[in-house]
Amino acid sequence: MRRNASIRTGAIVLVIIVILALAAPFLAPENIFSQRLAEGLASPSWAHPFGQDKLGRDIASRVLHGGRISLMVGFAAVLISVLVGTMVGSVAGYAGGVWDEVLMRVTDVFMAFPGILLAIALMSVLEPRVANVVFSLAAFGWVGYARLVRAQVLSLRERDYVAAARSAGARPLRILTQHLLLNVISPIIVEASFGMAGTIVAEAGLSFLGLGVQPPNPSWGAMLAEGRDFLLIAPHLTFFPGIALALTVMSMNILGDGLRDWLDPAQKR
Amino acid sequence: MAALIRERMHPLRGQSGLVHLVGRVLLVILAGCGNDSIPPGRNVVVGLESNPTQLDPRHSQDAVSSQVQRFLFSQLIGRNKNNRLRLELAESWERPTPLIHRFRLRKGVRFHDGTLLTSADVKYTFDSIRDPILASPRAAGLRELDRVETPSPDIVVFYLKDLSAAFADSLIVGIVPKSARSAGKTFASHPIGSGPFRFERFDPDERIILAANPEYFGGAPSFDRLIFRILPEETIRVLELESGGLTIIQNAFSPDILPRLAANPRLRILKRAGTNFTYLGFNFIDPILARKKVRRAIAHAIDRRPIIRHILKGLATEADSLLPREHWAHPGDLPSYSHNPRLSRKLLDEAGLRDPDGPGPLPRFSLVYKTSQNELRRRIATVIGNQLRQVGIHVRLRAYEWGTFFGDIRSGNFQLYSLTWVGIFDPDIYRSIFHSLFTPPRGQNRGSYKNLRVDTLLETAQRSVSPGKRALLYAEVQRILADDVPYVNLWHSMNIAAFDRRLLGYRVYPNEDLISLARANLAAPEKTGR
Amino acid sequence: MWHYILRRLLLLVPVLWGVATLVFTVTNIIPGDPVDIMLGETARPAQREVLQKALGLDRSLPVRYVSYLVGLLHGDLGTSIHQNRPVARLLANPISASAELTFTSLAIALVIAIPLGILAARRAGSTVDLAAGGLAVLGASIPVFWLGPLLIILFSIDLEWLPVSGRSGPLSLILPSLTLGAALSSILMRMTRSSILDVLHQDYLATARAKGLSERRVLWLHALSNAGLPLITILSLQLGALLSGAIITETVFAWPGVGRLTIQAIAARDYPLVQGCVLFISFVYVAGNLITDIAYAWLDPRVRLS
Repeated sequence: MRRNASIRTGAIVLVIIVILALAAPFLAPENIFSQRLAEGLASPSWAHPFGQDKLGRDIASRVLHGGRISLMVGFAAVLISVLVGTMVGSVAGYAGGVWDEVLMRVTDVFMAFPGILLAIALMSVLEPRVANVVFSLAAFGWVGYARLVRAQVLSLRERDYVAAARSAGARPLRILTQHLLLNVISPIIVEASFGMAGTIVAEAGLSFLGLGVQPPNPSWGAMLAEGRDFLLIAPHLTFFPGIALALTVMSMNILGDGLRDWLDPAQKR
Repeated sequence: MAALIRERMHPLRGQSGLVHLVGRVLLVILAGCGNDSIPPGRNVVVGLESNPTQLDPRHSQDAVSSQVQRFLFSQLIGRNKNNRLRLELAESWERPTPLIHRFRLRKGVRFHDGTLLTSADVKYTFDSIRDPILASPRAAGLRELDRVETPSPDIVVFYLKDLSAAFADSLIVGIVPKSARSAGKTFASHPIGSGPFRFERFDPDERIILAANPEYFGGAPSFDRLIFRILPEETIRVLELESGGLTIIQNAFSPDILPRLAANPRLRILKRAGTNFTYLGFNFIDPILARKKVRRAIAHAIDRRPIIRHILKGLATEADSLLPREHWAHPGDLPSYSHNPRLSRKLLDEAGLRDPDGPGPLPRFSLVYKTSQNELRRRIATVIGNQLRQVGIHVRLRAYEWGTFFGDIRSGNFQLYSLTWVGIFDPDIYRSIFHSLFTPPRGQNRGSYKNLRVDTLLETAQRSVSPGKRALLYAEVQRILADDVPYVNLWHSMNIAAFDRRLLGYRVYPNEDLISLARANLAAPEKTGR
Repeated sequence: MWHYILRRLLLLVPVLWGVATLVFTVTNIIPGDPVDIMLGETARPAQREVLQKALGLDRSLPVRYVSYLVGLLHGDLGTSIHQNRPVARLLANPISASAELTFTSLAIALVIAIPLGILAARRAGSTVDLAAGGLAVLGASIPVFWLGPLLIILFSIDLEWLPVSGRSGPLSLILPSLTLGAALSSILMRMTRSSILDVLHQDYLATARAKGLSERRVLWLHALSNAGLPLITILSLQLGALLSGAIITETVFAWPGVGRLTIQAIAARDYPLVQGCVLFISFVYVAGNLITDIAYAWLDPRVRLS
């Protein structure tokens, strides 16, 4: 019962958020760049439900647009991570031997960077363009999927139907795609769900540190960074982007939990 | 709540639960950790937003460095709170001829290491500034100096090659001991001067601790230590001021916070018109910005009024020149670039920089606008960037740590930037800033502006001693500059100091000098200070 | 056991070399010409030469790479451009600050998570359990750079109990460690809860009860030792999050640790310092992983043999 509730709640909240964010250009009542200096730091009002930031810009609109950017960046980064990781993991798992050793060492090297450190290092030298942000996030994200896929491929490699296919002369690529990868999809989906949450937080973290999406483009992380300068007199700058971020991450985590319980109930929490 | 505040020095009493438990445990474990405590005693603590880049008075160019050095080093002469020249280390100042400045030094002044300050130290200071190896930025102001002579230990004579109306200002520099020569580069990390405070410690990005100099010839300071705490974040600076961790902040907060500070009964606010000038600078080496039409277009695209009214909360006045309108050398009828986006677009079109898609998102060209990490400056830069976007110029904002940013500006590594000249007094400053000889990295003509007529006018004005004649010359300079637009004039702002009411006798100087702290008093506290 | 340790140590060498190479690539190959960045294109050739020599850029890339590696072996992490001092020396104080923060966060996480987890397990299904679970989800989802300012608003601005920032004694350690430890404690709490629940449902509980041991002793003895292995697993998995979370936490609270130093170095375009900091943090992470792996192997013999 609980599992289904998790999936349902998580999915619903997530879907709502995604729709809101992707529809931001149509929904957002205000131009996110239009500055109303006279209303700088104004508290929430009917016209501006989340209040206005230091330049009088409508925070609600910026939260929506920021969500759009965060989700798109997150999705792109996770997609790339999954693709790259799956390729690496399949080759390592299936080919084995030298390939496996080398690729696993490479994976180890990338895993030696805790969290967003690698992304921070990369963004410190790259131009802060969105493409580079996606690249940096994917640069450390792919490792988890590589390991996952490799483990799955390793355990499935010796199964009967695979041996049968091999003796029938099927080419390795065919075996991989037809038989093995299909079984890897569910763990990948679970992992990607958590990965998406993590990537969105990572992107927000980069923007918070000034290394991600640059002002005046809205991004939850950058808005939180701006809010810090005004904690004393305008805490609403910090509340709303933070709530949006936390809500998004929470729903993805809940969804991931639910998916994991559903797809692989034997796994311990 | 009040009880909690008063008991802040014994915080673990009376608190229950997890925090109490954790605090107890940590207190025991960490009793030895944290070497960051400030020594006890009567201290005045100043909040700074960035590190001073230099503690050697011969080298500094930025306001923060000057403010700190002022307490370590005495000068021959200085400017008081009304900007008038006054004697400091000098007891008397004679000018037997217009080309000779003769100073008699006070007797018995000692450096912090105990050695007597004599004319030899003064001579060494000025000779080393002019030494090309040291590459001091102040050398430019001493070009008219021929030689320094020291007929006796308490007499120093400056012989000039040429008349120089503003030479006195070039003499306003901290005197370093001649032992600085052997100290070489390490002198800046352990500066020895003869000022009211002695250097104790500098923890970069944390604090600078200066101890009172009881032998100071102007009278020992009435408190033990002057501490500068480096707190890049405004929220933290303000909270520290409110909670007593800082005694004073000057100009290092955005005007939005002012009502909150003014409402605080523990604090006092002082405002005073400043002799400063904020501007947007162009780099003439950049092919786009080298074109006058582009610069004028940018000037017309900017609307200063909403910035002054809403962001600076009215605490600044529009500038039409480096000099404020009341200045004796200001001609009074300079043209101003009004906000006119249509004219701006027309000028850009005429310059051949058309907007590829009209009102659409594609820009005519893009520029990098560099600034420091100061929140107010970044905010203003964002607004300006938005105003430029309205005429089709895409602005990329890059905020750097102060030292890095200032280094870029000094070396001419920028397209657009915004900064403030502080302590404008004699119009000869135009020469340092706009004469074609003083381009980066040595000089202060950051944008590499070059106009031969202006060069000639400035040189003539420098050698002339008649105020009337100088006023005429500078008037023409200002008119040419208004036409050439090497800077977009922004504003002159007020200096605002917020400080603990217990601080008595503090005066705000127009050039932001904090030196009056040396003669200020800390009244008895109602509670023990941190 | 020693075989295992030796094997792991040997495997470490190529990984460390790979990390050093990757960092070198990032800070030396990608940025373009650092002299251009630092002096701008208008710089005169003489100026450029001076800076190039100072940065050691007049040597070719392979030479720089080799001297970089050799330097690392001697503990030389390069010289900071901005502060003109050896990077290793600049790291000294920040290392102790970061260690203080990280260990305290770990301690706080354990102190909060374990009792809460036990409580939730014993009252499984009740409102207390659900509340604890909700809190855990919250704690895991609220990013450090939001939680930090929220705590500052509550405890420093409104209540004025704790200092806002900086490292100034034990009180100033509380908010940063709470912030950094929150996510970890959420995960630990849930893990503790599930481990305890498993034990509570197992059969030997009945046997132990039959022997007359009090329920409390049973709980403590079996449950906690059962939770020991997963605890180390979680810690080793979360070590990375802890270290990278420390970077942001230090920035939020102006805590003078290695993370904050890294960010400041980036704002100052001080590439050697960035390089040194990134290397240091990675090496610490690698070492931490090694230690937890060894601890894991010690506790679970099956791991050693694989």
